Amino acid sequence: MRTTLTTAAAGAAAAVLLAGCGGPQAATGDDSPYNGSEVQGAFTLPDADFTDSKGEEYNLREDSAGAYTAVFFGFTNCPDICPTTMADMAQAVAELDEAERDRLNVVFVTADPDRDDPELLDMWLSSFDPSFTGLSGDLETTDAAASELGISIDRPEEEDRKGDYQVGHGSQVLLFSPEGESELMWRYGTGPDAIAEDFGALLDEEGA
Amino acid sequence: MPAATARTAAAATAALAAALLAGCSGGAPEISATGATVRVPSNPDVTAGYLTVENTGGADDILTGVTTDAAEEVQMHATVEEDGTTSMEQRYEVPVRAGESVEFATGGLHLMLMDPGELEAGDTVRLTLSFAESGDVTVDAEVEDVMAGTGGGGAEDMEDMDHSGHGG
Repeated sequence: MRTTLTTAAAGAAAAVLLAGCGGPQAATGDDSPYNGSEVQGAFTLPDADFTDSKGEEYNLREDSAGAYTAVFFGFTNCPDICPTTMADMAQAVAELDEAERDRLNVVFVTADPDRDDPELLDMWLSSFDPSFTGLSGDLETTDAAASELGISIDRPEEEDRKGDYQVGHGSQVLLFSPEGESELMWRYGTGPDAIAEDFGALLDEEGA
Repeated sequence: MPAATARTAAAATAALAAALLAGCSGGAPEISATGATVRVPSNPDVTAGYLTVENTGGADDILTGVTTDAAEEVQMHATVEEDGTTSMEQRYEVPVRAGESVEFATGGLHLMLMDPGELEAGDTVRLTLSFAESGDVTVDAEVEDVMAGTGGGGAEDMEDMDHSGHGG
């Protein structure tokens, strides 16, 4: 009996010690040093061809490689969620120091390529941060890319895509490593301070 | 048009409901609208408006619509999240109960201004809010740069919306 209790106590003590040692990689709950959710390796940037807001071809995986990339799917006729998210991202980027800023790209993929052509995306994004990249692709590519990233798109049927229709979409921002692996997910409403703080912490974590 | 008929019917129902409610609580609604802002449109077809509507009176009221000279149409929308998809649902009436306030804020209820035309930061846009009981209430909204709303608090606003009375 005594032996069992001692063993249990030792086990508990060990668990506490281990928990105390758990770095950010192991943390998934309240111990996480990040404001966003850790999604290491859950998603990979899709090998998908888009056109960027300057009219150039852009492969989401290849052309994003080498820098951290924050990806958001939305549409420019969205009055509230999409501008708020882009404004928060722009503010977060503005809070980074120059060295950090150079290591982060922000990519907006339109969920509504019928209306959002590269020119409109360029104009729309320039009201937040002209350095942001806007991507449009065909519907199939767009939906497949979103699906690979666990982001839903709920678009009206073609005959209903007239006038002032709206497109439902997942409102999370996913942050990918320079190798294209997912690192963090920020839910809608995560403020710019929290995003900037997370990015700084992530760079610290990798010892950069 | 069927949509217009439905809207008229909804407005009539709202007016009737408000009249009945007012009759029971022995007071009148007292509506004020404050903190109104409209965003500089990033896409010329659409922008958002935000404000707080407060009812300090003794009876409930219902916001049945918003108009402005600065846009072709103003719709009331709620942001809803279901199975990870965020979408907007139009509201034709938004109850403003006695002693309560309703916030139109990012991530929750908001105004959607269709074809807003040219708006610049610092401009003033007059919004006319139509109430079933109180009639028209006007408020001047300040046009704000799209970056003016940053600084966090979005999630907090969303939580506020949960108990401030979704319409419909």
